[in-house]
Amino acid sequence: MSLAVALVAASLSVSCDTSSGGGGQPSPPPPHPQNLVATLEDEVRDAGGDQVSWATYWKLCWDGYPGAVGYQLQAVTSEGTSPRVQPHQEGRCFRLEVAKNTNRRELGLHKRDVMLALASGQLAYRVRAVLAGGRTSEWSPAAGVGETTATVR
Amino acid sequence: MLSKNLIRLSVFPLSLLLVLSLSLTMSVPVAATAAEEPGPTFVDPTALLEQRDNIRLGHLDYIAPFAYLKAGSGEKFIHIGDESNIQDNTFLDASGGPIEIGDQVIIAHGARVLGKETPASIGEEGICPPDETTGVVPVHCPSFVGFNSEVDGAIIEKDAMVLSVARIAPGVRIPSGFKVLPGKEIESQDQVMEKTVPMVAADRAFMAAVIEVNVDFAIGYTRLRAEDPNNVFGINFDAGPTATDPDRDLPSFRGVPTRRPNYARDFGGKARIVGDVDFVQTLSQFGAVSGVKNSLRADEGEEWIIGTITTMKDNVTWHALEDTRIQLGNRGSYGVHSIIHAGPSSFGPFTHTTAAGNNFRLKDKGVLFNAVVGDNVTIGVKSLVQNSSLPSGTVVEDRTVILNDMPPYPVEW
Repeated sequence: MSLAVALVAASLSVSCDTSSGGGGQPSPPPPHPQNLVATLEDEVRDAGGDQVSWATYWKLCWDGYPGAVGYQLQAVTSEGTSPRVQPHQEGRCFRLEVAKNTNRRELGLHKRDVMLALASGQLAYRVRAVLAGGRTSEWSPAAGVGETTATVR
Repeated sequence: MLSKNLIRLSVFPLSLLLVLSLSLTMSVPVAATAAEEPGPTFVDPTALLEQRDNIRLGHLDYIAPFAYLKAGSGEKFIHIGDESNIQDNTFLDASGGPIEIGDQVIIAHGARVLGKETPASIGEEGICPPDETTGVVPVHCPSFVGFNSEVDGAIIEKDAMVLSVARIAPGVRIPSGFKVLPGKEIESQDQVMEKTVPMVAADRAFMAAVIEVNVDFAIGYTRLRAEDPNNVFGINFDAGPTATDPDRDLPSFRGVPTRRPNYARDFGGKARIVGDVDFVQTLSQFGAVSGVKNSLRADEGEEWIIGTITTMKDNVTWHALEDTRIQLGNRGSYGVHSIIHAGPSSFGPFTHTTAAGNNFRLKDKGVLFNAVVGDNVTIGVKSLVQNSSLPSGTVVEDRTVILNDMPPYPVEW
């Protein structure tokens, strides 16, 4: 989806949010996806000699949304919320690389902690469901990239 | 909040949103802009561009309040590409040599870029990572210089980052694919690998989103000025409505919504204050304790609650994003070039706050970023507290980094 289409879709969805529901009251969007859970996944491979290459991925999953035809994600940064809405059609999970390195095996996942700390301070994501007819749910609470949690509301 | 947004949206024409959408379309990718109608670049009226005829700006750039771009003559130029942003209280000094800023470069609050006998170059050289879907290597990609950091006659390649309060010395090159850790000083090329870590997809997503936000600001502030040139001066409205922020708010002093376009001019460049900032003090009380060139920008943030201020020196920057806010207690003191910045919320509802208790003291060049501190806390000179919680009475020594409540380590310069 191009940025223009995404933004027009966002504009229209805002327009829907503000339309009257017959009785003069705005029709609120349906609630956001539930049970957001974030985990970290490490992948390590032999890089030859005494070296290993590794990467850590932050994985955000949520419960299936009744009637959803897809989901959208939006990046929230320390400088503001991106106007770009990212289509996400690959199921109920989103995965993002948050740390990686190649180092001597004896060092383990070298500097992983500081890389995760840096990621969590700069970026978060929120998710919403796309329903038939292009209607969208509310945005979920934002989930900090690099951080894990049990369940968010 | 929701009802207020809905009311304001009801008078905001959909056609304007569509125009905004189309304007943004023209900006992405960068390569397309040359052949199409260029988007607006916005230079805040408080930004100072010295030797203006030797400064070249691109399209869809955002030059924030009190940015100081100082070019010299001849080869001592400043060139800035498209979709770049030069944030509040930054200093680009080309009086000693040229500065070349490429496309999609972020110069964050308080950062300094100095041209020397070795030119300063950011986002001009190097290579971009291939697109994850197509495998195509784009010509343009973002690069980043963080809060109160310094690029001193150095080269920061595309797809590289210099994080907060770091310094890169003359002649050093930070290659594509690496980021300099906060507080580090890189004085020679052989230190680069030791003091950097590899860039990851999350860094690239962060930078791309920051570019999108600031392109939105360039458009939003340009529109605000077109409606009324006085809108972009002094104490005034934020850039809303933007694609993500339907509100347009004014600061208030002791409960009085205040719009003073002449404030910066009449008081010697006192301050640029925009958006929903709620001061406990009156405007005259604030004016009595505030230095000059202070940029307090609630562009997207929820209402800020600002207690009494004992002193606010010069070139202070406060900034918050949508659904976060800043809350400061009474008797706060804020040093020269200090920064208070909210960050993205981390699970939970949108109530995340960057906060300090009473008697907070943020010394010169100190940075409080996405953190909460109690009463009687002092953060030392050129120290960084990021994603952390500090109990009451904590004193952070000068030149110290505290990141995610991890053990502190020194700023190296």
